[in-house]
Amino acid sequence: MSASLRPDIDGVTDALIGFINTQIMAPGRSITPTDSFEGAGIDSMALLKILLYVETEFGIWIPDEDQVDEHIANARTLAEYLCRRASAA
Amino acid sequence: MPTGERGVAGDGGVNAAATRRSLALRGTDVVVLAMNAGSGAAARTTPNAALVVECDGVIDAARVADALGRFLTACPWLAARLRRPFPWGMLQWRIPRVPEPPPIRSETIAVGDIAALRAQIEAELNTPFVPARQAPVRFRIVRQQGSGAETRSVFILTWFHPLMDPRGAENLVDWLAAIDAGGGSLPTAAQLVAPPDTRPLRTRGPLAVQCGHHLKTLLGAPPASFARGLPAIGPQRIHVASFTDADGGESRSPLRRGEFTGRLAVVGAAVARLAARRGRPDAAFVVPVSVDLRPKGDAGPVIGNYLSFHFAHFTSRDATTPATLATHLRSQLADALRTNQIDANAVGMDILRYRPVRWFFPRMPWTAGTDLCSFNAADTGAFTPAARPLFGRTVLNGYHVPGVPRLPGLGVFFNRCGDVQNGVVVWCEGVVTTEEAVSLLDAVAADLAWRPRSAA
Repeated sequence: MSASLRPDIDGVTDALIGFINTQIMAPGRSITPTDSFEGAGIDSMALLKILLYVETEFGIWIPDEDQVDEHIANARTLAEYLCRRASAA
Repeated sequence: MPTGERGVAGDGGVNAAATRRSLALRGTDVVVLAMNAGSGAAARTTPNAALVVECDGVIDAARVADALGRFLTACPWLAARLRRPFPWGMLQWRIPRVPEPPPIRSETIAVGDIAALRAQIEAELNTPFVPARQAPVRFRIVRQQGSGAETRSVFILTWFHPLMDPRGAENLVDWLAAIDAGGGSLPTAAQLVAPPDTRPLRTRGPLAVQCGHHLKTLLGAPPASFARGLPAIGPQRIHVASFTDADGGESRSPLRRGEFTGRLAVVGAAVARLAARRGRPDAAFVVPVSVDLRPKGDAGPVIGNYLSFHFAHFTSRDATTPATLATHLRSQLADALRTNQIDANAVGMDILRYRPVRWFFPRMPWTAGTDLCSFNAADTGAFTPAARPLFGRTVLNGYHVPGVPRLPGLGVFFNRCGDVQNGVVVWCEGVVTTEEAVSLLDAVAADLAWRPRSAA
């Protein structure tokens, strides 16, 4: 079920981190909001799972042209991007 | 009689748990072999894969051999994995009670003799394993001797692909390095073997049906393949080229980011152009994309192809530009994840292990031949130089060279080692020419804005 996205960067970051650490990362290999996705071993397939989670949870699909390092470097930058999108909507 | 579900006997009591644990044999192993088996000429294919590591200096073969011997003594899973029946018969590695490490062969060539190095790697790909009599892994160290003290070494780990996937091979090297360093405990079975899917059949059954339905409806006609209909298909050849990323990792477009659908799109567009030059401007392509099921952040299992598949499919019309094709493929992959197709494919492949291999082909929509796809492509990962202590030298580069089935007889693979981007084309002689293989990598490099670093 989709939830409307409020521009709450901390809340969105927490939600993203919760999903990533339970669904993507190996047990005992949790990441923090500013840990690099690439450095944590998140490959393109795992990143796509994160984007699908964002779509399901927040109703936002990130278009190809926005899938750049600036937006998807880590959970925090992704949350900031999503909140900007929500504010602009 | 084989012990089948039991671990290999005679581990000397070092790891008793290993002898009791059931062996996980994933369905992707069946697929790997089925894609390589076929019939007739295709049956002579060698499902080998190689990991090549270039080092600055002389690699100490004795250290590698010693680490492998200790690894096998503690965890003889390399042998045990093959001591069970496959759907089409027995692959029995008749080992002594304590597995004997395979010998590490050494050769010397001149520094810079690219042709000689390429020949060594091709020999590894084309020399079949006989699992009934041999270890399913081989080690070769190629010393490149120059004038004076100038020496480099290339370490080649070759394995029988049903044994493990490329990530597993890297994990094996990491384990050998850890054992060599003596700082860690020996691995246990649970750390080494891909875990079985424990979901009940009532859950997995419908997923397998979904997989079968998907395969039947994927494409209405046989996929375009350069190998189809060739009277003779020769041994495997390779072309390897190394590049640097021009923008040094700055914010990049989706096509240039290290995202696999973007890379597959670049390869797909190049292959489509090649098909057009050969008089097939409206071809349809299918490419199996392996999906690593390991949780991230941990090395994960060594033994077993811990993979699922996504079957990317497109036509020449979708491939007018790499960017267009990337969007198409990315959307397709997102849909596959949304509909749980990746999981269904993993389960479908897994259930194949209960079936004879002849069951496999009629499940495909293109049953007239045995080429199941148009070409192979994979991002075989980022080789990290963590094994330096094992080799005793600085790791300069590392890349995978997976073998390709005679049908379709063509594969393009991406590897990264530090700042080096490696492109590898593997083909069977007759399927494409050397010039065409080189042009494929040239096109890939141009589309990704890679600058040549060196060529091998």
